[in-house]
Amino acid sequence: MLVLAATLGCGGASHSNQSLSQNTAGSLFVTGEDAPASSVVGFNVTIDSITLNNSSSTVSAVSTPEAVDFARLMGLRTLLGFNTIPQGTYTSVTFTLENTNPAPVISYVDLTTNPPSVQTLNGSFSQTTVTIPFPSGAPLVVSNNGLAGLHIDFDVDDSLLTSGGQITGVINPVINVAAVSASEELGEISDFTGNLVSLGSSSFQMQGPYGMPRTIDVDSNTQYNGSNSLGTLTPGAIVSIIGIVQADGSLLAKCVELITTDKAFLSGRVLAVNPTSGPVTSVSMWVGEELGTSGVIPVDTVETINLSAVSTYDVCFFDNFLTNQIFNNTALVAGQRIFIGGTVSAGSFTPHLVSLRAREFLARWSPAA
Amino acid sequence: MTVTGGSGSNLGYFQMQNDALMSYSAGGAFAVYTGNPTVFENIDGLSGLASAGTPNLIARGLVFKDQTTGKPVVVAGRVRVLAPGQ
Repeated sequence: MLVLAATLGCGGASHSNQSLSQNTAGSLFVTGEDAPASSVVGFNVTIDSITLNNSSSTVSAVSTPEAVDFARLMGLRTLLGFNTIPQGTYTSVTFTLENTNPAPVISYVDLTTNPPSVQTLNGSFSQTTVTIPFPSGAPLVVSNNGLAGLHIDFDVDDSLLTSGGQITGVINPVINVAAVSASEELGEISDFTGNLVSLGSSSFQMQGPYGMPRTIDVDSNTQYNGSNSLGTLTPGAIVSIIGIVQADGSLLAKCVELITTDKAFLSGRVLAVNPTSGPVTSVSMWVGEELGTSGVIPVDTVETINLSAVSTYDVCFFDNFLTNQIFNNTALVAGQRIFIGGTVSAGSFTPHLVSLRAREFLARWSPAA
Repeated sequence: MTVTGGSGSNLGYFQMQNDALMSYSAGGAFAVYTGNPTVFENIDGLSGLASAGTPNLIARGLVFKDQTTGKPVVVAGRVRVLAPGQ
């Protein structure tokens, strides 16, 4: 494990900007992540709008309601929006949150059952409009033709009110905001998964999450899993990207993972494995995300997936001779976040690939055992 | 806190708890392994963590199965200590 810890990582990539045609405006990208809560696996909320404010004006950063499962992100950052906004220095952000149409939905692990199950309850924001100032001395500055980033960290753990240790459903929204640049770590997009639509000579088009079409540029620094390259990608494939936002709204990919060419995938947390030792033949998992499986395995459900025919095991963006040694069918365990790629045919999902994904943990540490 | 790489090294591990599913799977606290490429934010590496009391923190990484114990462990790419009250 220590050897792996010493080598884990994804190579860097350069960053290029392109100019905008407007003279008094710049580009703004919005990224979202969460501070994970101990037992919460789903935190579906709808953000009706996001506006930026200063003493003299208010501008829209996100104007179309956007449904986001912040718990699914598990500490990863996704791209929530990209907009052109007037240049200026903005000192606060106002979020308008949806309470009824639809209501927030909270899904949490119930450890009183064996195997663990998932319970859901409707939530309710204690306030639907919240204004959060940027940290003192660090406003969001949008310059002419510049690229600025708004980072949103929805603190799921602190937002959920509890009574006697139980989640009540009342959400007191605790949101941290920061102005970020595309090139810094907090500005990087670490979770952008979707369908590849078309290919170019040094880029491809992708239908990302939240209905967001996006151009993905690649360069000589872009890393791929397996023996893949731009030339081996095909339309319809499902890919996952780590990258940085460019001024024209495209992403420059640092890493591209081909999950499946079979046009169906699931993502979620492993709740239990069967058997618990030796090669695993099936997993019980909370499905937090899917593409192409909704007819047979919908999102926000607990499903048992038969993995006995899976022969390909990946570790996201860690691809070398060690990969199969450290992650294979004997290395699945409850608590992991995995992607499963496969096919849907005749009303059933047949998995072909399991990919281990990064996730975050919020906790207090205890001095060594 | 266990550091295996000598003075100034971040090669080692610490333990976390309170993630419901991981603690259930591990039967208690679970180990978070770090290496020299692990990014520590708001803290001076493993040694800083050892002397920091019990700060709230977020560790990001991959969950692997310890083949000896059968329990989950985390290999961290990033450890971020949260500001008081965060």
